[in-house]
Amino acid sequence: MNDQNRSDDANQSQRSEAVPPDLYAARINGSPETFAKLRQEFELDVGCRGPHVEVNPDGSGTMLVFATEERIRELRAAGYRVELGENVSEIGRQRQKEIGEGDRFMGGRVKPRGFGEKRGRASERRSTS
Amino acid sequence: MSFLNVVEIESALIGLASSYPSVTQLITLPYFTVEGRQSHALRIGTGPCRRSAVLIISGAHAREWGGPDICINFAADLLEAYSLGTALIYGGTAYSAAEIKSIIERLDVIVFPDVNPDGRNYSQNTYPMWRKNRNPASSGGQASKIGVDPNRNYDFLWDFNAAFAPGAQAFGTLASSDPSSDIFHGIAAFSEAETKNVRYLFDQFPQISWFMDIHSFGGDILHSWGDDTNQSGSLSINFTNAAWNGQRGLPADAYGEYIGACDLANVAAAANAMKAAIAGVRGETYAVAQAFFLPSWGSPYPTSGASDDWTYSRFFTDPTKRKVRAYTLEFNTVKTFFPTWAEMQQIILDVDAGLVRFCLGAVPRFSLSYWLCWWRHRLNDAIWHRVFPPELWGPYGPWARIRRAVESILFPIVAPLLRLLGTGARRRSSGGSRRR
Repeated sequence: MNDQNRSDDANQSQRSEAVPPDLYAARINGSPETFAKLRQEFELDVGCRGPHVEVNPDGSGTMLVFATEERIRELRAAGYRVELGENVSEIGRQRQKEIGEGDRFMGGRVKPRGFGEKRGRASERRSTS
Repeated sequence: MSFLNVVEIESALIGLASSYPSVTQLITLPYFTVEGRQSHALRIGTGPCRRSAVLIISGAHAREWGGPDICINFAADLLEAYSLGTALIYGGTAYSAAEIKSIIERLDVIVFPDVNPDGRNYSQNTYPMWRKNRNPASSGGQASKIGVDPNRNYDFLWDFNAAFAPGAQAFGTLASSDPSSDIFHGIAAFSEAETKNVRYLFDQFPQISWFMDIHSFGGDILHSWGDDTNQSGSLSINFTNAAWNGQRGLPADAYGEYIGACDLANVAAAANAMKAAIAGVRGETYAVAQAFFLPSWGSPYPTSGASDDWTYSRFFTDPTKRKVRAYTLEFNTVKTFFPTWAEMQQIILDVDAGLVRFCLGAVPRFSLSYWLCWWRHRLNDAIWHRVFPPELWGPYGPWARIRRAVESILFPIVAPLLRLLGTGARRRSSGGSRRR
């Protein structure tokens, strides 16, 4: 079985499984102390490595987390100021339409080319960085 | 054009290896994922001996789609520019043909674009926000508990409950022993095929001296350490010292992870050079920071079992290993996992410009030993092997067979004589010792 067929089979089996609920971008407003308390009370999806916080003109911060609707209700019930943002799962589903289909490189018979510009035999040109 | 799927990533590597056979090596990684996928890496480099290598990995977190696309484009750009002898230009950042040549001819660049293909496949086809791999071993049959976070599965303070202060857990980024968590660290360090494959590359290429793990998002270039504050004062205060167990992961306390002052300056300088190269493309501003103090607000974010810390820690655990300067890059300054493909193309230009700069920084600067080695090989090829062809004089040539035949006749006669001479010498020596 080649990898394409295997991935198709895997996709079918995956779709039949229980898929987790959608996640929303939730922006929580507060102080460092608020966020410290928040992290102790809830395990939150804060992105890849750690949370991203934007500092507001009034000195407070806005932390971006990804949470289900249920979790957002719990956060609000616990007294946190949460602004419900976009459905990031839905954005992801839209982006799934921008994923390659099949194999554009035909198992390695087509050579990939990068987006960088290759210009002349410009051995004299120096890095600007 | 579009994001690469998991099949295309592997095909792209095969295509690059077959298109540039003299400067590439396709590396088949030995550990199959739970869904039966086998990954590949690509080594780019030429020349008879190399003093240094760079390893670039990506795709550890499934939903961070653009990482493998960045790596494939980077490899394709380097190889094409080298083969054509051209400059390589990313917006306002340009590299001369000589610079590209120096990377290819004096360095090994190893690219492992898709560490976690099962997770990527699931994210791209089923649930976009999936982060972990698809290992069901700890799930107990529950879909919500499938998967291990590969970037908490490396052998660096993996047992976070023992190594870190209880308070460090509250930051929410350390790791988790709960399979339903997005940062579940697995049942043991290196329990996962994904991390074993990365370790395999380090074992196969011990000359790796620089490491980059590409993630998203944020627009950050993060350097060591990720478990605690840095300190350069006391070498004995470090992750190997069990006396500090239970005290790591908190700021402004007695514990800090040791990093030499020169090392710290070097890793920060390389990160800043990369930042400048990225900014040169179209003005994107990436932040350089210690991983523990991920650019954010108000508090640190310790991690356990992360790739960059394990990579840098190897030298401290075993000084016979090379010291590897290790980084994590969080691409995309717009805070989303899913840029449009049009946006992603711009990000690819940004990051690839940074990666070329990163590799240039890794090219050995002191080149005397390299050139001596290079000339030795040239002289071997040009003169020595012509005068003394290996087919005649080598270990499998006729002269070697004759020599072995003579040795087999003489050895039974000569060996007892040598033993007698050796025994006599030892007796004289021990007699002398007694007299002293």
